[in-house]
Amino acid sequence: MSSREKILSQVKSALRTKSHEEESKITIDELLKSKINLTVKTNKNDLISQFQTEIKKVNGDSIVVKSNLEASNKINEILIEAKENQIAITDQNICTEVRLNIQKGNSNLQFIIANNLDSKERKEKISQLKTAIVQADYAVSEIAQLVFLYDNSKTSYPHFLCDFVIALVKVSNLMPNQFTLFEKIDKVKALNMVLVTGPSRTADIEKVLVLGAHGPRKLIVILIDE
Amino acid sequence: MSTDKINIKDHIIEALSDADLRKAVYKATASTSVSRLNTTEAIPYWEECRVKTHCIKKDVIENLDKYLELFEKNAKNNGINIHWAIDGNDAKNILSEIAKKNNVKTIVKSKSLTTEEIHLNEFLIGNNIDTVETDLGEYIVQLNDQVPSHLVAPALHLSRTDIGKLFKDKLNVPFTDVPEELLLIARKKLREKFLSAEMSITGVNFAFAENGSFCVVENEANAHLSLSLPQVHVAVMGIEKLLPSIDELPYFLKLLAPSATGQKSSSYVNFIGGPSLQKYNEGPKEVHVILLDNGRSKILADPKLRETLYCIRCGACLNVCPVYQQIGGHAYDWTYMGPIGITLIPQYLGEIEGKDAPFLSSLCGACADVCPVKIKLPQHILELRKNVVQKNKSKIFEKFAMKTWIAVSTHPKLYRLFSWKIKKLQSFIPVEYLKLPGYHKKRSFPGIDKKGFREQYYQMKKNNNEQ
Repeated sequence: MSSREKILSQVKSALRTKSHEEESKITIDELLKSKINLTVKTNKNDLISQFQTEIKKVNGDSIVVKSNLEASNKINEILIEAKENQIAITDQNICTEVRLNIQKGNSNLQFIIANNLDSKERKEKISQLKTAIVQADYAVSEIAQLVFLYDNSKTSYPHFLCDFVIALVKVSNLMPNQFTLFEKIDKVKALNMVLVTGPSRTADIEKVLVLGAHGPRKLIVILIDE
Repeated sequence: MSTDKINIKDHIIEALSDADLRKAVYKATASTSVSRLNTTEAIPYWEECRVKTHCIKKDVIENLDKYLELFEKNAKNNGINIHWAIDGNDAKNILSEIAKKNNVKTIVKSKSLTTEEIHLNEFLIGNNIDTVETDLGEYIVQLNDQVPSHLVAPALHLSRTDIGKLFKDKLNVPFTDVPEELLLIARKKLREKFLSAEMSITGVNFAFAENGSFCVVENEANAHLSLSLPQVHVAVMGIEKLLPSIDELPYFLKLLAPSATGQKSSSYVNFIGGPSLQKYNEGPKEVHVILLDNGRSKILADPKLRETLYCIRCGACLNVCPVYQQIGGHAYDWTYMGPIGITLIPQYLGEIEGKDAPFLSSLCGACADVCPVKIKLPQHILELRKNVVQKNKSKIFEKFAMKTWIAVSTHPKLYRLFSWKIKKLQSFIPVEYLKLPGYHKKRSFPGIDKKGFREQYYQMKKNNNEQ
């Protein structure tokens, strides 16, 4: 008998005796749903404000802009201040527009488009860079979470291998909470995805919070409210 | 069932003699409990969410065979290699084969209690595979030749000075006890490992039967780097870790981070739905999931105790347990500790080897109050105590003491006479020399209160009436 057959047969035989626990008579689903709904913010400005408050609590930062062009100008200012000249970037649509806008006015900056590199080169090159610009598919205002779904146009290396990450996300993709997010999300794309809340962190030494455990130390989210 | 040998009693004596350890454990657990309370109180549907997750877990466990087969089918469709391991040896052989086939020399590991349970590191290192833990706490305890002392915070028992000395000795770096500097040292060392390792191993927080994917929850990003940089990824998963679908996950995520660390949300939730190298030019070319039984189907066979398989390993029960707070995690001498640990130890190791574990509880019930999936821990602890007593022969002294206690406590007049006698007698007995089971030279026996409950109760009642 293979391990598979053995385990399944033991599980089946164990389950012949049903649990002694009484079935819950309370219909919790309705009550839970109504209580969750009471916490949901629907107004766009409330969602933005909640996201901004929450991201500060997890040691991140955020900026609201009105267009991709304004986002490009803000990022340019940040990069000049940070004295960075090599930036990792993905080739998603907003990232590409932002890259082209910045390059028009700042020819000193060199962008490394992560998706254009093969797997080995991508890993080696991106891990040498300090700053990255990425684009999130969704954000969750209640916990200031960013959602990155993976498909051909995306890569997680810039976000995870660089110290300083600037993440772009459209306000129209701002979800009130994770319940709404999981209802909305494309289930096929959700097979490979990552949810990100703030910079990487640890409190493994005497419970002292230190940022940048293995991933980014600094995260700025640019909310594009077109 | 595991064949591990444990020695709880000696470890407890050791732990109780270490004042620094007790201070460190108490400080850490107390502060996490406060953070937990602050976060949970701000969630207006916390209690309903606990009931919901309890019901979801109940459904999964009561139909585990169906969910396992569904997960296997869908994971295979996603290109994931599924392996079944009846015990630790089975799992280790599977891993060894995968490593051999891929000519693996270095493995990066992300924190996984399931792999601790089967002593995987020892085995891999014994087979000349450089195996490195990448969670900072796990990295520290691995360097210190120890095992985790807490389900969530593995190095909770060590001070920053201990860690500074450890890094100086083991990593050849100048001494520092500044947490930021210590982290930088570890980050640099581990980044090299992430970039060079051929294989990674993680545990699984939740796996989804409906779409055959799984997720790993973390704060440091070490799990993400483990999942995305090496070419081969192996996830070792206890068979109870399933959820029906990804739709149920938000309820668990809502409870997990607040219960574990007091955060509203963990920093990263990584979802793996198959090998991504060919699809996205990034991540592993091979993904393997090892479905590990290792005694879980035996636990499932007991309809009263199978609820202990609902555990999501948040560690909240440890942080509020007055026993854990005094002795720390190593005293339990096994992978799982605290209230959930003492229910799992006798079930995994047997009632004879794990006979001492269920007695490491005051039965105060705090563990049940904080358990996010509402496991009735005190009830299970009592059940296991009963099982242990039935399986082990009690000492004559214990039998005599218990029979005397039953006789006295069920006859009020006799009880009063007995306690009066003891109160009078204690002034003639030097209590510090009193040898009683459970007490030893490092712990003094507390004297019996001279007033007693009855006298105090009537006094209190009288005072209240007078007011």
